[in-house]
Amino acid sequence: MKFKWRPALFIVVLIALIGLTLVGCTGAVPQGWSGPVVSQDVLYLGSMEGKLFALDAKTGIPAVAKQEIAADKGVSFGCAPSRSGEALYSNAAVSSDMLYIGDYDGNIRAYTLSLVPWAGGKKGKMLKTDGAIVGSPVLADGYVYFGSSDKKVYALDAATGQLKPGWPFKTKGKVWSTPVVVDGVVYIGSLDHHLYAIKAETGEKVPGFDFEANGAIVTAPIIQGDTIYVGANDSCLYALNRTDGSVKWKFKGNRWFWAQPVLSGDTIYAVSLKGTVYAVKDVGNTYELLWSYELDAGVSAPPSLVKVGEEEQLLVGDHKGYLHILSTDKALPSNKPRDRSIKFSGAIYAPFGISGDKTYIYVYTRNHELHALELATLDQKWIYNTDDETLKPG
Amino acid sequence: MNPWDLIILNPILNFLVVLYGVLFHNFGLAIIVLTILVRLVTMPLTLKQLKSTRRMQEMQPKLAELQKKYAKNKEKLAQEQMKLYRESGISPLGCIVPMLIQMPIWIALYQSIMRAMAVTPESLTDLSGHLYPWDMVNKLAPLQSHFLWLNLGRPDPLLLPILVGVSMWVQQKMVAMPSPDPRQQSMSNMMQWMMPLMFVILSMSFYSGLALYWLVSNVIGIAVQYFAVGGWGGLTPVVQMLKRHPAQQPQAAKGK
Repeated sequence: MKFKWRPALFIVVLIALIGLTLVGCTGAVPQGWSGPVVSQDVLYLGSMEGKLFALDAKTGIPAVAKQEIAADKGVSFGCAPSRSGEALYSNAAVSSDMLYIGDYDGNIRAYTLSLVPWAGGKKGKMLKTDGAIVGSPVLADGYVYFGSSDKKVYALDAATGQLKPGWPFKTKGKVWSTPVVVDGVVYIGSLDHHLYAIKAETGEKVPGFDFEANGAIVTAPIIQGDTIYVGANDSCLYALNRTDGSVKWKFKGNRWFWAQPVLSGDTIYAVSLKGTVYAVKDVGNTYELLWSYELDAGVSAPPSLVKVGEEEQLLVGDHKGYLHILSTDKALPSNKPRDRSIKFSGAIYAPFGISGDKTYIYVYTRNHELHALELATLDQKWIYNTDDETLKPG
Repeated sequence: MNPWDLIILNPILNFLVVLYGVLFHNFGLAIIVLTILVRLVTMPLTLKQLKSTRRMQEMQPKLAELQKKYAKNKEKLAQEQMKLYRESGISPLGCIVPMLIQMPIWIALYQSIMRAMAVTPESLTDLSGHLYPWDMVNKLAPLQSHFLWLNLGRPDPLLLPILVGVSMWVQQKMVAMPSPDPRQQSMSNMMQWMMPLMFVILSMSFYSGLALYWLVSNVIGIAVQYFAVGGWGGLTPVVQMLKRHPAQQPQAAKGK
């Protein structure tokens, strides 16, 4: 009996150690959720493997040779990722001749549209911040605006990479939100619960503007007229006065609003992390909930509004790999289902890409596949695997 | 939602986040206090396990005798061993069962620390699914991860892993008793070095928040062993040597 127990204990300890290693690293390695961006018939994608692709948007054939953003660090152990900068969360911001993308190592990088690294820095690096870049950069008036996990918001000259005088702007939390620049003001959320309004010219806070939610703000705000719409991790969707950030109304959802909502007229379509889609109508100083629809899985990718024929439809990708095509019709007949869906073999975390002529939608799934679908018919045209870099017809 | 999350993981995770809020938004303190509380709750089981282990160890000489006596008859040896356990009122499972009962709580505590740290954007979205719909917990996420010199969401390359290794070695040494069986003694010696070494390596690779939990857990284990079971156990010779050593130095100086 005695001899049997000791080896058994040894095996239990070994299993526990292996278990610790596996459980300990669950969710620990950043994978990224950068999505496709289409400009002038070329699709740009920062992939989960840390590669930057430029593909022909119609055929999926690489337009130019890819760029490796990730640097191989060799063998790693435990929770440490084997490559630095592998994860790309931000979408590329594309101008007429350059594209800009942030990486999880805190670099903002620039490339020509032929994916040649910007000559002013090593491997296209314009600036290294002291924290991961999760939100996307935005281009406005010749400057690149973006937030970093080092709690700062930056403005760089898009041509020279020089910091704009008066910038960066300091917040009290990581900045994972994508900025929105309207009328010379940069609006951006922070994990410190604040939505900031910053003068683009000087990098100073807009006087009198103050908004603090009861949770972190990850989503990018939407601005229409004198109203700002923003979701927060206190499960509320807010409508704010653009002048001072005061709350016009707030709508309480069932979980955090992580994905940026979309707007059509006076109706905001917002999806909670739990996977509930809300259509909320702004009626001045209050709101009206037009409809809500529960999906079977969480949603963190922003939804997209598209028009198929005369009908406006809402596209939502969920963590189980379903692309939902939802009718936005308020008065939906009882015999007409709101949801049609297509199942992919990988979860959807990345934002959708839509071609300039609105004929194609691009879905990048967690199993490294970029799917191109014809919007009118939802037929798959091609699939590009970013891992093994193969193209196959849909 | 799966029953594990519903019944075990989520209550511990949410309690940890509440503790973080109460303890001045200090995640290190929250980990320490939660580990202490969980150790207190599971103390009866821990004591039972330690006592069973000790009684098993006290029986080792008798078991060794039986092994000598029935070396060539395994069946008889097993019968006599079981008889000895029965007569002594000891179950061979006595030290394993309390440990197995505590295991889910430890795993949940470990997982809750991992999840609460939510180091990556993916893990923060995952955390939202585990938090109760209370404003007081949702407004706290993501948690601040700085504690002393540590970023709890990153591995500490040196000091904390060494502390984890040393504390684990001390704890193991205290529990270990000399065995008359050379094979068992050799395995016990190997484990006493293997485990701390393994945890040093793990602590160097994993987030320091987890390493902090292992350190606190080890320190509590040492305290429980010292006060509840009595003394330094297998570490007594080392402690005596350390006590003698400083006393001898002044005498040696005088002699000179």
